[in-house]
Amino acid sequence: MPGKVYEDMASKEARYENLVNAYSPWLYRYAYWLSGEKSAAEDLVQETFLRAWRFLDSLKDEAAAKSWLTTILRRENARLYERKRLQYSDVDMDSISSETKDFDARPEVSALRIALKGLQDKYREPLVLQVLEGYTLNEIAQMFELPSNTVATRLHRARQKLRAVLQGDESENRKRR
Amino acid sequence: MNCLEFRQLKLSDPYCISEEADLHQSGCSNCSKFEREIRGLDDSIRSALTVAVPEGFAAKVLLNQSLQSHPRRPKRWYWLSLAASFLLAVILYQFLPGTLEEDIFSHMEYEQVHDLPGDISEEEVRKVLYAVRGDVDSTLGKVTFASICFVNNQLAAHFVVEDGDERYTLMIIPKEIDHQLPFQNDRWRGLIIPHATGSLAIIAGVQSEFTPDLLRVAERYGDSIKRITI
Repeated sequence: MPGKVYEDMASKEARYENLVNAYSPWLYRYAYWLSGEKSAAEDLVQETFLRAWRFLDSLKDEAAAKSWLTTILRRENARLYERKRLQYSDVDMDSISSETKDFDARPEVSALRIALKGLQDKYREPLVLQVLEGYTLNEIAQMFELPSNTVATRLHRARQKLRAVLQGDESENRKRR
Repeated sequence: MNCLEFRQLKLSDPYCISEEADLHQSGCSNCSKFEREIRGLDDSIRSALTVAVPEGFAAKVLLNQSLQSHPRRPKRWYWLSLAASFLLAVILYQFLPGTLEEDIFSHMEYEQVHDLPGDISEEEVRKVLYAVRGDVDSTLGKVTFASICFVNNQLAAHFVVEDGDERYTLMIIPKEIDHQLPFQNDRWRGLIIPHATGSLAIIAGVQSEFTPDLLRVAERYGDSIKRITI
């Protein structure tokens, strides 16, 4: 019997390791945009995977792993960081510019990154899921437990705001020239 | 699908596959241009959203899980720590105070082995009493055993006294009590009374034909011992 226990444990560990290797980068990026801080993002992902380990047996379909982990992370974020997370509007722009080694430093991308940080959570979150990970509108709606139309409106507004930033950036450049 | 519907769709879901949208795009150069612009915007958003993941992050996550929830397999350190814990528990048990009566009974066992025939001098008695801030006010009579010991983790004076044919154990214990406390097991019975030095216990064997009045005996010896200020 102990042999069987260790076999099951080894199989669980292998499964878990695969999940961590496959999804930790994505979860870290998502956590960063949820929490707004690198250290908070790390903590969030750690907590997410600890919880995932505890409830790994409840994940029956490996294909659903990514959205399962994403849901855990969103809940962890709500639980742990909702009250104390940084307000993006208060983010010091110098700290953003000092992060260039971690980000694409092209001017238009930097402008977008600042604009993304300034977006309200309800606009930024679905956009991150759609653009970074290719979640469909319906999948996001299901995850957020919102009607598809509501999510569509949020994505529409998020892109409009960011488009305006880029257009403003272009017109600024034209003026300078 | 008209231009407004097409643009709404592309702003909310640029990657959606729609025949209607494809048909509209193929016949509308403005919307075709708009579609390219949105794809470019999304490429830029993707670049902006991409954050460098800390080096070795997955390994760190795995290590954290391993430290926090890995089942402890019985390795050498495990057994060593188990043995150390057991030893510590035994040591603690030795020093943890039991009840006062239990402690006294254990001293009775000791006394049975070490009480040798012979009188103890008054000077020796005084030395032992001194350890519990006590002294003799009047003689204790015949004393056959005198020792300093620990009762309830405090220094106590342990005597065996004889009164005629009767033999008693007398203990002066610093622990203060506010009431008389009789106690008994299958071999001994005793009484603890409040005393100036803390408390005084008198113990007699239950097999004795004579059943002494322990309170009277305790009070008599109590009167013979006074507390001193060091």
